[in-house]
Amino acid sequence: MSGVDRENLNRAALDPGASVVIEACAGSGKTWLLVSRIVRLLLEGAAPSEILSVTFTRKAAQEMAARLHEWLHHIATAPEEEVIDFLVERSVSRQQAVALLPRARSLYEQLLTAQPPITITTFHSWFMQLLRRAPLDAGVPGDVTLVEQTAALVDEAWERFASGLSGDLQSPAARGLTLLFRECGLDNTRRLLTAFLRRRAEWWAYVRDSDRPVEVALARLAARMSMAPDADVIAGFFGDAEIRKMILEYTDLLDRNTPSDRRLAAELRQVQGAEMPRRDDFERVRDVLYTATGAALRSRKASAAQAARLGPDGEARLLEMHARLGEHVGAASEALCDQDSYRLNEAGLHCGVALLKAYQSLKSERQAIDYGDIEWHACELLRVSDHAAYMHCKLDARYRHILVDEFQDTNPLQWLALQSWLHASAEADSRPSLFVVGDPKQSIYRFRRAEARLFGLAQDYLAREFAARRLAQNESRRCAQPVINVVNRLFGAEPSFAGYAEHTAHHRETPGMVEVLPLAVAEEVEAATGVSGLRNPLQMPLHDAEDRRRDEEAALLARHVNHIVSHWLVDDGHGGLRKARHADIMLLVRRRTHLAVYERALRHAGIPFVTSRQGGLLDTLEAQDLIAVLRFLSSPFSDLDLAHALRSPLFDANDEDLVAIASATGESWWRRLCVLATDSACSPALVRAHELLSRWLDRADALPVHDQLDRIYFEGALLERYACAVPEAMRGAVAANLQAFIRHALDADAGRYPSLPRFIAELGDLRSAPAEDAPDEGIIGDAGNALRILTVHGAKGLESPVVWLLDAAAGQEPVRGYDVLVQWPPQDDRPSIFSLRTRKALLSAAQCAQMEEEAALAEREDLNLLYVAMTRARQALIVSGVAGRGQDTSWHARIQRAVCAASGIKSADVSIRVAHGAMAEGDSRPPAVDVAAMPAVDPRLGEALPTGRRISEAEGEGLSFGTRFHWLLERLTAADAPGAGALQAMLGITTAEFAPLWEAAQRLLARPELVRFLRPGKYLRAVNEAACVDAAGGLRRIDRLVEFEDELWVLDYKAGALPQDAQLLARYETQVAGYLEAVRQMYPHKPVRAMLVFSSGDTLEIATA
Amino acid sequence: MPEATDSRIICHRVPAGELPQRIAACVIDQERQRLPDLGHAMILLPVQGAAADIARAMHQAAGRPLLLPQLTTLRLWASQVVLDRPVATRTAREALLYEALAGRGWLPAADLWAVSRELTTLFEELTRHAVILPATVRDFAAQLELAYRTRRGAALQLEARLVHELWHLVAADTAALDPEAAYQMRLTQLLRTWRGPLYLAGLKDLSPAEKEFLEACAAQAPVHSFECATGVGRRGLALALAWPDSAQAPETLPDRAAALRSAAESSPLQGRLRFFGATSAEQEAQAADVTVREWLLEGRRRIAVIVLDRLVARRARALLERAGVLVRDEAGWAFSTTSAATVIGRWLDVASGDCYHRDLLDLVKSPFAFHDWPREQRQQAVLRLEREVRDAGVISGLPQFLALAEERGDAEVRQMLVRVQRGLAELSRGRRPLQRWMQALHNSLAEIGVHDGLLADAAGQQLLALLERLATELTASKLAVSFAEWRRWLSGELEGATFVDRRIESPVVFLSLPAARLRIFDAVLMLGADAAHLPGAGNPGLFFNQGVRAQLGLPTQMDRIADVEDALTGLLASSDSVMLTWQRTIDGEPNLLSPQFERLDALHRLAYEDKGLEDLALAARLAAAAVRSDTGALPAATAAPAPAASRQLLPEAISASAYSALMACPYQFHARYLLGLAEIDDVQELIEKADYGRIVHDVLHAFHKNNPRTATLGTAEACAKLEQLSVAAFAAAVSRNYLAQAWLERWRSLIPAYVDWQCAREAEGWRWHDGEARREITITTPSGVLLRLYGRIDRIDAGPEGAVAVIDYKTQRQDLLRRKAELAGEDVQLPVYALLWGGPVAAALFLSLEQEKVGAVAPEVDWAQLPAAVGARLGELYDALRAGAALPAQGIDVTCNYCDMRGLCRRNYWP
Ligand code: SF4
Repeated sequence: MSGVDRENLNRAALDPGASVVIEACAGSGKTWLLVSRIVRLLLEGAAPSEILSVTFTRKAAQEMAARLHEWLHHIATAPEEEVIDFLVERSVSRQQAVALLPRARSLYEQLLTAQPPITITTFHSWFMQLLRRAPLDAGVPGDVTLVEQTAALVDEAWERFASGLSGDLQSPAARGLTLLFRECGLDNTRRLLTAFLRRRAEWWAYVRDSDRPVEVALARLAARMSMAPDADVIAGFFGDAEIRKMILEYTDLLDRNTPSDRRLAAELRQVQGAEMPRRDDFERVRDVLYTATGAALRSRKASAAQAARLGPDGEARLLEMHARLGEHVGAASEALCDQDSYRLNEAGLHCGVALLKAYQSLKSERQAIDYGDIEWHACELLRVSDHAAYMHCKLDARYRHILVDEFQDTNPLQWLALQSWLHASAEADSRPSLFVVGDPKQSIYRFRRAEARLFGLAQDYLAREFAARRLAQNESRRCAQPVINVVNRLFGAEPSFAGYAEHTAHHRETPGMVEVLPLAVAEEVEAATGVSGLRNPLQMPLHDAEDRRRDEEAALLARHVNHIVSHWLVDDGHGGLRKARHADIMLLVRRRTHLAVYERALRHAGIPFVTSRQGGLLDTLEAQDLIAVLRFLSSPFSDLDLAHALRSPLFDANDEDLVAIASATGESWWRRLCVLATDSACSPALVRAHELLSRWLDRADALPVHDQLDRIYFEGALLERYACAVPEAMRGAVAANLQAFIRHALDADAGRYPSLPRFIAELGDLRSAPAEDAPDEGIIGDAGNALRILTVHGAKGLESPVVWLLDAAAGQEPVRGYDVLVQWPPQDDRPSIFSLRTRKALLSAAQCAQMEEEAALAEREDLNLLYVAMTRARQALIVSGVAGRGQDTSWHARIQRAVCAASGIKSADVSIRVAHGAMAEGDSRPPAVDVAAMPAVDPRLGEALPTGRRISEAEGEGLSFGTRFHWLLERLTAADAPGAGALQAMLGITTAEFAPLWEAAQRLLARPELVRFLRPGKYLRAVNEAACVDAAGGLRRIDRLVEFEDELWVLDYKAGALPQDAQLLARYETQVAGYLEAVRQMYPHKPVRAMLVFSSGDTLEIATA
Repeated sequence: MPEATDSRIICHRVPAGELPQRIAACVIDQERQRLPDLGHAMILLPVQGAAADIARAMHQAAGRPLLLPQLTTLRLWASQVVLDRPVATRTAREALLYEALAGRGWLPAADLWAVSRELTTLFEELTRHAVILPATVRDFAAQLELAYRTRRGAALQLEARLVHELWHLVAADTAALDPEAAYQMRLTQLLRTWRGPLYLAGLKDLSPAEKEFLEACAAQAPVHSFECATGVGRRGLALALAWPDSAQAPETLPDRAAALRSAAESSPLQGRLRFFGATSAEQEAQAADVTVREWLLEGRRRIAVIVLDRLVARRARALLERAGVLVRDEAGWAFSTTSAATVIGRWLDVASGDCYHRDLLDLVKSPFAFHDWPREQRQQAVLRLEREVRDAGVISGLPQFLALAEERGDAEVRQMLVRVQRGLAELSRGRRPLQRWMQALHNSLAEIGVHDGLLADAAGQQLLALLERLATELTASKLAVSFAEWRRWLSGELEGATFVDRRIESPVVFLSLPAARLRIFDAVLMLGADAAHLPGAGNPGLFFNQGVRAQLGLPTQMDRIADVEDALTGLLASSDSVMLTWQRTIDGEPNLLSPQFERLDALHRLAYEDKGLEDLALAARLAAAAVRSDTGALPAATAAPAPAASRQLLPEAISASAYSALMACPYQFHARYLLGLAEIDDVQELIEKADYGRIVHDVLHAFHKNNPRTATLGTAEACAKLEQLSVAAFAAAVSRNYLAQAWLERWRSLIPAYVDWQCAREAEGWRWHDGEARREITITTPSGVLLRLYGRIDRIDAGPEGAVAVIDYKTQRQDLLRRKAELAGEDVQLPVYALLWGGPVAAALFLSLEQEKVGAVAPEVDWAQLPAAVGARLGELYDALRAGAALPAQGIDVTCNYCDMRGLCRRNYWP
């Protein structure tokens, strides 16, 4: 794309008045375009609240918002010329830019103060916002919390569903479950039914508006079958006179043929004898005609010998019979298969609906909602036009401009919701402008139900309804020319990428390359020898061939990485070059399966790396160590957990220590350790472990888990100790994981159950939960100089100078059985097909056809994934893999072919590459290590700084005894004193607290000598809780100050009776003397006296000094 | 505050940071005749916490001992007035609304408690702001239509009807006064008795009734009102320019920066206000910790931490406590996050979940439960209960647990369970009034000793008081609800109430932004100052929207933001060391700073040569400034272990599986068989594959034992017998968990195939001979030591001409088994069985029982040689172990993935 083209495109895309749909290739600057458009909208006078920008991940939304702030800040504060250039770059004419400058400069503050603010959000949180404000009667759960992790809920629902069934074994669901169990087994049944749960939105949409959903779905299924579900296929087959005749004739012919055919004939004769043929009989017939798997008709050909045996007519007849009978058998087989599939669907749908019911009611009991619900409810909410119209006015923001990013990730529900919203806008005559950007080539979220085909559909819709222009952007500002060349070669030749538009590179001069390494093969290892040639496990470890191939690839990787960081120069982003660092390299894998092998090799080579393994935190050794410590604290008899904790760097016990404990006597390891630790010969590690563990055991469950963990981290010097113990390459990652773990405890803790056993149980559940539910490994604040390992999915939206695609010869993920098969034509408001599929052998004919379609889509998506992977590379793309089966369509092979085509190289056995310019520099200085000097800090910061103290409740302020007591006395001495019950209610305290107060008050009121202090009218004035300041500036609070004509009294209430303890009494006296002193200073001319009043009724005047 | 000229209130505008001093000076001056006794005057505060600072200022102004004026908030003052009519409590109001909503059935899907709570708040707001709804619902709907700018919608009609009808319902509740109305009546009564002068310290957002009250007071005695003037002083000016009143003429940012620059040549904020953008929550907490400790070391004694982000605050508090710095947390915690409230949650879980074992253990492990027992005794009993439950595998149901305790003869555990039973009896189901449920809860907590436990705990005491208060408040409510409804209500209450620990006295105070009003601190740290918390979106509420609220005369989000800015101004103006922290990134995602501070920073940069207020040096200091604990001797780098075998621990007999472990990984063998470690059993709710295998083994054994020849039975009969045996064998598991049925079904589907296989085998001349045979042999090692080798052979078949075959049943797929058998001598199971048989075997095979397929996998090895060789190797290995050979950790990935000893060998950390 030339500069002029880009300018034209920008002008069209950023025109605030026009709606556009843009298909933009990877690395073309979608975000730049989108945020620029927002700037233009604001510049044109749109209020921030009129803008709605939706994308798919929170990260993308946050980045967009941050970019917008940054730009507007720049506009508000940069020198005029720069601002004008900035605007001109965004297709504002220079003249206009000058005119708009004052306005432009005010946008930043306008954005910061806007009320309601601009909405830059994800689909989910926008939907959530809608639901929170949904009409009260819309049937939308109102005040709910979003559960992001649903695995535990699904488990519970599953249990509830199952135990619910045991009550009525004849219910359709219970019978269905038994059938499923029998046909599929427990795990697969569960997989099938949870798949149903996952696809519930499609299910709801499929049976929308029907009150007998299962029946409706089954009827639709039956309509697509060749035969009725309850038809007796076997009887039909054997009852057909023509078929019977054919079988007879066929049998005779076989009998005259080869010996093996004679055996087949014998099989058929058995069937003929059967009075009421059964399914096995049919299968016998089938097996005579069909190959073992029932997949294909056995081949029968004409031959001279056969013709001799049967005569030419006989042979022709045999072949004809074979074909015709084969057809009948085939049809019957298919019908049977359809029926089987139908029965499983019947069972599965009944169970699925019951499970779904359990799941939904569980959530509604907990006032919870999950992502699936959000989407469904939002979509249904907006589909009702009255509600949609209401939402338009209920929201404080009135959107006049809608922007959607990454449109290819939209699913049908989201699109439906958006469409309904737009429709309602149109009805209200407030049609917004639209800006939709996406790239169907980067659609890789089918498993989250994204539907790439919606892109084309939306293009049409928006063109029709909103006069949106279609634009395409195929210039990459990211990838170097060689990468683009290979991408063009590869995808340009792909039939499923029909219409692929050649990409161009914006930075043509940047050096770059694509290199395909030959597949790794394993070296032979010498055979093991020992007794009679058997391996001796103490001397020789076992090896595994596949592992060794991968080890080989991993070793290659480590060598190359070392070479790259010592030799390569990469683009510094400012037109210059700099030495490559580990952080410049990104390793991509399609699946996480073999990550451990690569990590091991990197660790071995001392290469620092971070893996952001989704859901992987709890599997890391450091997390396991902490879990072992917690499990031990919760169940101290768990020896293995104790041993595990002891071996971790937290205690660093060695194997001798463990042997010592194992050799000691005592009922549990902990008991033994307690004894051992008192022995002077005990190792320091065990002594330390014993001391710390005893301390932590004492606190177990009295502290919330987070606080307990904090003590463990601190007292155990956890971070320092791990830093010493783990290989340097892992140090950063381990530290981050340890932080992530305690953070997880803090988050979990803020919820309902902070107890230790519950926390441990939850960790166990999370660990076995699917990856997207489990906590992720820690992200290192500033990732530091470490290489990143990511899945391709995880790398979406990221880029790196060097990208290495590992394990690229692996095949596509096989399609797994036991799932829901949905067909949702993108233009429809509901799926056209919804069925359950189990094993391959039990697929109906219709399902088979549909599976083929699915397979085509899956294959296309696999290529999309490859496209995403390749286009992460700014300069260099390196591809490796291990030798194995079926690699012709592998990524490795495809890239290899493309590189060959691009470079003219023929041979594919060696490493091949295309390059532009040179990546290497030849100099092999080791990269400079950046040692940041530790700044000087006050050394006292490293030490304890005891501050503050714990005081008794009585000393603490608040509604203490005294305060309540005189409040009560005052009420009781007032003219119309209320009763005890009313008084307690007024105080809002418990009976346990109120009763002693009440009794004490009664006692005091009964003392004649106290009446003058308490009953109004007997004194001039009384002040309760009189706050006074003494000469030293100290604030004092006197319980009651009573003024008479001739004197003042300070009264101080104490709970209990006059103490026998002289010391305590002395303390009281000093305290009251302080009050006396303060009051005397205030009233030098009036005598002041003081008295201690005990709730027992005792009084004691404090002698004047 | 009334600005109208006819107001009698004397208004003073003073710089924000000086309000306490100025008010003190004014009081001293006005009341000088009465000095030193100022008890007749009253200073009204926005928050009670501000009292101490004003008292201090009074003393300084007077320079002598004083009896202070009364210092209180308007609400606290009014609360002392006793009314002659009962006042409805909030809880009672909520119950009333709940009942009304439930009865009308308008909102089938909604959480009615939440709606009732919101309505109660809304109605209070309406009363407070003197909003009178139109008399008819039609008029009200029309009013809403206007405010919403729409004329459509059943939803709008419903909203109007609901609010209108219930508002009138509540208003018609003559039994008790509305709390807000009661407050207004109290004010009226105060007016009758109060004659003293009033001083208003920065009161804001007064309701019409309050304004009226104060005006009336002013008619009787002087009333002085002190308000913060913005833009005073250089710092004040900076803030005023950063957050100009939107009503003012909108100048551009550069213009205001220039204005600031010309008023103050050097930055009034530099060195006084700092920002710190953390890369993670942990770093933010560390920054807070270090900053607070640095302040303490500088000798600052009044340090406020304004908590906007509770989670980070909790983390920061934990870090401070590491250094022994206690924090006085005035903001408090929702009860639902305290361990005290949790025990109630645990208890109610036990009650609602049929005493599910996890819930039960969770309850008894709580330090609050059975508090009346001596600690050691309780802990031991709990440990025993846990062990018993784990090995007996009791899943739920109190009777089952009781039976278990009975069976084990554990009197203490039994007693514990009996108390639980009595407690549960209190909570038996049915519908009851809320108050009765509370009573039942109280009784049940007493039964299980939790009541005592709570009494001994600070949060517990407050919790008990709260529970009792709730019960008391509900005395009048007759609304009967189910256990679940009550529980939902209760957790809502616990969520809403906070626990404040008053037992800590410290210079470091955690508090909320509004609570910091008018208070003076040496230093202020603000945690979580990002856009999400400051000003935050607020809770939009179920009813109306901002436009409608404004139209009705209720406060809106704009008012809230103005409040926030006002509080910030006061805080920044009155302290000369302010630090604010936020997370610049959260999980790697950017996170925006509060717009208020973004503006301030932008202004500052423009005015002072792009000098930001960010503290860039702190991050580097954090690591060095952390408090250190004793680390002990630091560990060395991890390496793969290879301990020498301990002769003392070496078992004298080796099982087939121990031998397998030794082959797979000697270290695993060490841990399992020398150290004797194994994972403790969790209570199994559902049988697992291993149990399945065991049951199937039993079924087959029983079958063959009674039916030596299957073929003679005939296929149908054999299948039927097996079915029968299977159903019986699985019965216990199925009754425990219905899902176990799946395993049964899975096995049943295999029965015909198994019978076919068996018949075919018999046709080849093989007969079942024995099964489940525990065998043991003795091996003499090369050095002459006698080693016992033992194992259980699943099945032994006798064949033609006296041949013998050993068979191992497997529930694995054939291809996996085939791979297992590939390398001779690696998988030792079959050779060991052959050895254990004692005589020559013709073959040893695995029988795979898996998904409709039954088939034997026979390794192609020389059965005449291999068993002996495998035995001989064991002898050699045993000698080596006795000599102390090293046991290296060296599993391959597939072994390690299923190894329980991963934590011991530390494989993931090997270099
Ligand atoms: S994890 Fe692997 S190396 Fe470690 S003990 Fe287990 S099998 Fe051996």
